[in-house]
Amino acid sequence: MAHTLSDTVDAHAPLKIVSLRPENLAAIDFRVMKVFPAFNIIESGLRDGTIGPNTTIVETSSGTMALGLAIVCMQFSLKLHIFGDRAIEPPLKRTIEELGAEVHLVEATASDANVQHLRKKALLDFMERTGATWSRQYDNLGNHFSYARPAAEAMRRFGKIDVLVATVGSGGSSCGLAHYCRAFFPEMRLVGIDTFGSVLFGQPASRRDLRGLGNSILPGNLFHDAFDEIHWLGANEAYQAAHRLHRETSLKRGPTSGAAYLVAKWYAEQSPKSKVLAVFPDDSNRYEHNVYDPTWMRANGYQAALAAAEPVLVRHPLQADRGWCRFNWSRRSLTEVIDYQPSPN
Amino acid sequence: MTEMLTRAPGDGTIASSYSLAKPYGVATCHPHFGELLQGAFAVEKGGHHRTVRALVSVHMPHANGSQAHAILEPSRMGKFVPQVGRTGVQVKPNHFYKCELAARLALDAFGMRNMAAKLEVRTMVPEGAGMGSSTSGVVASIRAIARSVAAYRGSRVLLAPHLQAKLAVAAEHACDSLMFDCTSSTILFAHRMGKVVQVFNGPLPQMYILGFDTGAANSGIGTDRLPRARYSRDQIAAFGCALAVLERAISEQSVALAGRVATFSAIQSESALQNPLKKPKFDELLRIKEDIGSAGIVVAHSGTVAGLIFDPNLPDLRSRMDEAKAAIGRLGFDIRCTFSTPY
Repeated sequence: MAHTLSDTVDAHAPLKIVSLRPENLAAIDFRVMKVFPAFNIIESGLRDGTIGPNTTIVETSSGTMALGLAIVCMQFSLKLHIFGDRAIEPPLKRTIEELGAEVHLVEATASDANVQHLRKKALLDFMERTGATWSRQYDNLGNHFSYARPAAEAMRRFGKIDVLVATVGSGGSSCGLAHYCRAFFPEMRLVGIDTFGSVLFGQPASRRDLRGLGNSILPGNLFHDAFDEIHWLGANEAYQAAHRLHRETSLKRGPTSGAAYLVAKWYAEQSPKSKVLAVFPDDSNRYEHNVYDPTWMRANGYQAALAAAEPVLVRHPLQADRGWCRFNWSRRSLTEVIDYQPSPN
Repeated sequence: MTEMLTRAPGDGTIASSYSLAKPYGVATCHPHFGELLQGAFAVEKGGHHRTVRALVSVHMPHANGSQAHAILEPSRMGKFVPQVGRTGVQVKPNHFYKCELAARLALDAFGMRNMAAKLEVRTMVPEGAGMGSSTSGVVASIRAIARSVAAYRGSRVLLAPHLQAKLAVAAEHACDSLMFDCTSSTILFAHRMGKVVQVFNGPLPQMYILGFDTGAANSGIGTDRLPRARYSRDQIAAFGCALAVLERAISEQSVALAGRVATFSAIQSESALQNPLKKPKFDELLRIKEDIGSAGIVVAHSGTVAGLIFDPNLPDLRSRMDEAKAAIGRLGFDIRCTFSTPY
């Protein structure tokens, strides 16, 4: 059983390290990254007895963690209930349901600022009624452990890593990968990618058009003082970056992968002597009918000409407002950064 | 195997005649200098993970380790068992009971259960330093017995490293990987099972090591009584990454990467969840490593020695090493040796 499961995890996320151009750039091409934390959280729960054969698992997710959990729970024959929003569109909903999970969608637009709170409330109500077990992707330390093997694979293939560029959602992959790489290369720079209106790095919650990264709550798995630099990208920048990734490398991936490519490539070009590793968390399955559909892109006003081509350096997270911004986080805590008053101009 | 026994003289004619040479064997084994990597590794077997304790030794192939002389004594045939005092092996010095046991186990392995022997072991390796004093003696003893058996039979005796490992671990419960050739490949060795866990495709990159002793004042560590370190789940996950970095270090022949693995492992030894083995002034050592441009720190994970790793191709190697010697001296540690490894 366990044997077929690790085969299944490998099939969904084969852990390929892809060399890109310029030659100091490479990427971990996960495809379905979240099978790693899903597997780790469920497996360690089974091992320490917090999850039994008849446990019902619940989780909030806008998509990829739901899919990861559905794959793993199906393999372990565990019941799974997902509390999501309209970011889980009908094709993904059908995929998850076909794997035997139930999907509950809260009545909120995907981009609403409080969507995470609404999902969580629905989940807590359900837990109270049924006694289900919450896998807690945002606060489960097992989430970090899941990234030891991907980190090992990256170091095996790429050697010393100078800069790691990762989108941030739960903090699991960015902080987890950095933790294991820094056990050997403590000077490695960690660059996080967030989006405007996400609370992760000091902005107030507001409407977010770009999903798959960012968050409207602060996860316990996010260690702010691990980050050297933060970039904020708008939806248009990430969508155009996904197209660029496809055109330049033939890899058709989602906008979070596009975002990682855009920022990582910028670093690789800025410092040709540094080895830069980007994290590509997702594939393009969910984006064929929107990001990869020119009609949809046009109808929603996403145009290549409007996307920022270079990051603007800001001196405080609140100054990051649109396009593409970057900020020297310098391995500080969130309060240190927020309380720091930049001098005028 | 038993036909060897029946064909053996055993009637005392040889033993009674002093003029005849006895079946005699001499062999040596080099020491090591701590471990590049030692920890607990999750090994997948049939879809299940097992945690295995294992290490990568830093061999000192040019240094004198132990030398053993063995003489078979067909005149003293008897019923012997691998139990101290009942082995039929007279060992000098007589407190080298691990060598005595190893010699008995080796004789048994060659089908000479009733054969007695004399064994003399001389070792240059200090005890408790973490340089393999007991394993080098045990391996030299096993090899000397094999040679004496070959002399006795008048034919070659093949002594595979895996057999030496099996016998050594049976004699001393945990042994280092000194019996394996370090010049053509690198092995991750389960020191409590005597088994190779992983073979890396090539030797470690050539490194110069400035070795010193952090515990000369406390006269070493009784490695037999040392409680084993226990590592956290997080540390075990990181040890898996160490194997990946080591693989890369070997394929690139990169001293820099090998040094990273060594420093990582030294830090884990300092910070094990239970029973860490702390080296005095470890933080100062880390600082000296940084200041001097050493590639890493190697430590004995059950002993007192430690060393700074240098890339032999560093342009100003000599002056850096001299600087390092002075800095280590100022910490109050005795410089022990400078050596090249794995060849």
